[in-house]
Amino acid sequence: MFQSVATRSIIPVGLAVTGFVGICCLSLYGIMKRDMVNDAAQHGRNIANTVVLSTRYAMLHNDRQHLGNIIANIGQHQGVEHLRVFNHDGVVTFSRNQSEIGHQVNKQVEGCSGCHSGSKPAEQLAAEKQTRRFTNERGVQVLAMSQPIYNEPTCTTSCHYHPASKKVLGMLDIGLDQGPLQNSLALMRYRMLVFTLMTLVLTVGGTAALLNRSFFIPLKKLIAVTSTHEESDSVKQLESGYGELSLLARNYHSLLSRLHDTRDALARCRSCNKEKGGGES
Amino acid sequence: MTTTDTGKPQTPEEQRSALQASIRRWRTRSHQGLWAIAAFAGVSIPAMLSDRIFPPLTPEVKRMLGTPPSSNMISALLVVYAFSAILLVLGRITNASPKMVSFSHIGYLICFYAFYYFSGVLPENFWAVLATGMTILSLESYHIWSLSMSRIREEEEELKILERRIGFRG
Repeated sequence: MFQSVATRSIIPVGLAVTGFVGICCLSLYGIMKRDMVNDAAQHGRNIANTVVLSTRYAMLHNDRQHLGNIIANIGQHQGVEHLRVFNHDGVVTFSRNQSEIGHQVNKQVEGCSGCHSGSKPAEQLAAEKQTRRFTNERGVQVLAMSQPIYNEPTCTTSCHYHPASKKVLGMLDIGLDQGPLQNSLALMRYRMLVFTLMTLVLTVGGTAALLNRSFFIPLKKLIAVTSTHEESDSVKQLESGYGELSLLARNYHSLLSRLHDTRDALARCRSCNKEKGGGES
Repeated sequence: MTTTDTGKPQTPEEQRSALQASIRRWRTRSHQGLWAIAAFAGVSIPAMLSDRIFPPLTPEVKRMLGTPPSSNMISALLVVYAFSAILLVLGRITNASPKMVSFSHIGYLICFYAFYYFSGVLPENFWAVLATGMTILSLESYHIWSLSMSRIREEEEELKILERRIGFRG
């Protein structure tokens, strides 16, 4: 089976096309997924920045109730899994979840280790270290952003002030549900899979079907007919077509006819010789 | 009549033994592609579990290695490598080239695994590298197998003719 012309023609090309289309789809999916995840992270950082800017006035005036209301209201938004503000010592001062208030976070956990991994805490946090992904206790995939709250000149001169020596006053930590992103990725995967399958069916399947119809089936008939060494109607059917196989069938038919004519002539010659030999004796 | 290394013509028995040994060598060689696929699968398992097996790179190592290429560039290079490798192997199949390449592809694919790992994006791109390796090695394996089978058929025909000549009854 693996030695036939059909197999040797279709298998390498089918394998090459299937493999290459699969490789391109997987690479493209990886690139698009990375772009979508990066966009989601940037969107999350923008939200975190917006929350920090929104709470700035309340912080400057030490209006803790107003600040708590802002945190609670934004935290109720669909898609927000957690929203909390840490102070300089890592104690949760404001949170969507009231039970977290007053707890101190472990500085070595992911999300805090970006700045606190060394002996001296870093004063600036790079964008990629601001984001982290994990699954929370409810089994929800979360994209969390940590936005430092930097000390500004107005923070040292307002009615609620911090000393200028403190560079970072606290941290805003917001976690967003990745469910919609995962659903979009799953939908994209499904669409790419359908497109790939359709492309493969058209290219490999279509080529195989056309080859089968126009070449392999007539070739099988020709092989069957030439195996018998007898003239038959099948040869005439093959001759009536067009293309190289029909030409081959016509050539074969012509060869067969000449062979039969030659045999007939030889048989006649032999019978003539026998009659002559019998007459002379 | 074929000659031995010393220049003397080979006897029919020697020719027969030589043909049988050659057929055995071709049969062994015909499985070379499958061994390459198995070796690549073996290499791919630690790549798949890289985040669990290998410790994270220390900052000193990262500094020594320098900035890795972007993952988009590595993916583009992977597609170009796959395209050119597939074209080359299809060319060898079409021309029935005696050149058999299999294990060298494993080296290139390990490099892709390494580049993705050092860029920190191996989990997202593992399947692309695996698909590339399986496609190329499957084509190479098919080429090696079909070439070996055709050589085996030719030599078996020669062996039959030789055995008929020396009147050998198997």
